[in-house]
Amino acid sequence: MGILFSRVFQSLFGSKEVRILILGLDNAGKTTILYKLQNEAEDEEVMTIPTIGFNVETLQYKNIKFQVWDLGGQTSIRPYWRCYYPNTDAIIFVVDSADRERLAVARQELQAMLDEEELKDAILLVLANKQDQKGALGAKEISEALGLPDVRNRQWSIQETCATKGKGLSEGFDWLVACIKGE
Amino acid sequence: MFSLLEALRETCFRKPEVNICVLGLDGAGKTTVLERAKGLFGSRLPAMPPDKIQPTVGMNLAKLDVSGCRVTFWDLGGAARVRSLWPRYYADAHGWVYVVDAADADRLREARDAFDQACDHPDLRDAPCVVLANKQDSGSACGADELATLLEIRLKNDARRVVDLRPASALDAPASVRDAVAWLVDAARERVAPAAA
Repeated sequence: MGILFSRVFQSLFGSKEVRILILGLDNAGKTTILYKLQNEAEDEEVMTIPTIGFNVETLQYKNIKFQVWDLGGQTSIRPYWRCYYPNTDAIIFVVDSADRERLAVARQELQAMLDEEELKDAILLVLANKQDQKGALGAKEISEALGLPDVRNRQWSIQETCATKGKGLSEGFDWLVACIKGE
Repeated sequence: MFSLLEALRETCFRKPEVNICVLGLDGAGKTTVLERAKGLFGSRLPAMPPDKIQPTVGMNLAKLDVSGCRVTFWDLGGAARVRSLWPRYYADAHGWVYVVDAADADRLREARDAFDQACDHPDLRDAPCVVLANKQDSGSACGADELATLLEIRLKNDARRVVDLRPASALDAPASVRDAVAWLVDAARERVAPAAA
């Protein structure tokens, strides 16, 4: 009964909370992205340390409330990602575009995640981050390297970003918003 | 128990599954066509308003019921730098839509080159195709006949595949999209493996 009531309440007053996970290998830039999203207006540099555990923030963007989870990316704590999978609407997968050696690992982690039953309805936004670094690969190369064109049952998009300068983030997020509103 | 019945129902009444690629240059209107199709073929989801649509980099997905088939649409980003990802979807496609911005005279050659490349790809060799001469609502749009000549539609039709070109306006003439999609699905369903049909 309580659930019913809260459903009715939610549909009357809108503002459904959208659950987003930010995932990716360690040092890809996930935490920087989270805090850049939160303080869009501010130009100051975000200082972060490697995340052990998670950071979670609630953001309001274009009338939608987002609950964004940034999960630590180190090898030893990646197995815990799956505890956060249920009820996820969208995955933001962040890649260090200049870290060519570890693209294969990133691909493995991504593909394993996409196979998860609990994430089968989540849409996928890949951020090809650190575009300011020398030797950074572009959206097309990253798509190929991650095997994105093999994704058949899920809406996906890729965006080149430079999180420290806040570049490309709003474009990526606009896509998410459009998809979530369209759904 | 219920899931058993559900599975039984699934196997008895399974609809043929048809996969369709939506291709075309960036800005041709692929996503608008897809959103229009979503509205027309009764998806539960409300379609995105055209002014909210942004350039696709990646893939937009729609699953719709069209003439008794379960149709999966893959709307693929059309910008030059990601166009090389298209062929990755060809092998699984039973048919394809090619959208042309008929009002953009400057890019008709580029549109033709990309079209030719897709036509020549072995994985699409037998796949039926409908070309939409889109944006007929714009006064400067080139007509269907003119575009058919430029794209050499007659030569593309042969014993192995059908290619049809139609004037369309995803914005103003929903019927043009509906008829084209229905025609394509009818043509494509024959290519679905008999096991699935």
